[in-house]
Amino acid sequence: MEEAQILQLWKLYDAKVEQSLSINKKLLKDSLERKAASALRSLKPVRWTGIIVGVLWCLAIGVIVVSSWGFTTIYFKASLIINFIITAIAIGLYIYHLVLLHQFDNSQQVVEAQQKLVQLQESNLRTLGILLLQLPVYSTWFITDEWIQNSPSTFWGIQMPIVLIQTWIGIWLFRNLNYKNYNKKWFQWFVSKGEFGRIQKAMNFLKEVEEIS
Amino acid sequence: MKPENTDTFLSVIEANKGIIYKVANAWCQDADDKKDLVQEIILQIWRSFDKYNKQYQYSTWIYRIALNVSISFFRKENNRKTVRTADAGMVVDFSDTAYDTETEHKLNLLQQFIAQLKEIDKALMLLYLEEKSHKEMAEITGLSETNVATRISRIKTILKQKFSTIEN
Repeated sequence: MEEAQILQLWKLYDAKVEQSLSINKKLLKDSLERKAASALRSLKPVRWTGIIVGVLWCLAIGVIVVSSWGFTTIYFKASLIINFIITAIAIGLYIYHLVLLHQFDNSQQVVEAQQKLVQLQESNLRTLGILLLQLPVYSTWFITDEWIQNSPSTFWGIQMPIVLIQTWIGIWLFRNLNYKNYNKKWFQWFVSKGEFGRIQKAMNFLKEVEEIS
Repeated sequence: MKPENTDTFLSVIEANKGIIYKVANAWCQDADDKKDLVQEIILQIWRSFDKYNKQYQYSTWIYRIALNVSISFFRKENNRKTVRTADAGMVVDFSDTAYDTETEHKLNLLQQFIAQLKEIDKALMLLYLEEKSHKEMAEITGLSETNVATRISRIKTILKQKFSTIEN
């Protein structure tokens, strides 16, 4: 079959589609209004809630650290300050994420839009990785010098290994929680099926583009 | 969206419904998935409608959205049930009309061929069949014109081989 015949065949199909396709405008209008509202409800408010809770959390931590500065241990202060800094970075990333969401436009060139889609989800994962870095501070804020001196066996034998394990888990997840590991089972556990499916498809597409470039 | 924009939107959809359907048809074989994808594409067009850039023709703009949505289209099973229940009536209806047997057979082969292609090739194949120029294809996909030309020539060769094998 020659090229012209194939194109002619497509034209026949095109004419059939135009002829046989009908759109129920009334139903379409109702359906769009309902769906667009629900799509917006589910996306941005999650980020806004994260930002508001994060800001309130940082404010509370700040007040506690400042007001108790004279009588709390260095471990307490250091733990809360680390927690404050990491939460503040996560808030910043959430804001960046909102900007990306706002900028995302499906009518961009296909390659560009798919890249942004992956970038958007990578930023989401990066935020989660950063938040997990603070895991050990939940086991260090209550450490005291007295505890270390009076009960070295419980401190070095139990508490310190817990802190080290949490640190290792936090750093490991921070380094590995990215889409390079998207084919690993533990990674898929972190990402919802629907979200993962979309990103996987976008990434496969970008891989095909890389192959031909 | 303002009411007058809603009217414009509906007429744009009406004028370009074929593009939406053909793209969805290339990406989904399952009839229900196809309906879901058509609705998802229309929803995304509606959400981007206020940002429409007059620099482009509506068809170019709609191709971009339709391809972007189709490439990353993924419907979770539970979402599928919810959406179908909510949209009991059909927004888009396709009443199939028959061709002669030979045309029908060839068209089925062509559609099977398209469905088997990789994502990027599928997009380019559709645009080629729509007789878009390499420049337009590059504008829609974001690939360079040289890449488009190389890829199209490769797809055409495979397509010809496929049809000649069947005919012989």
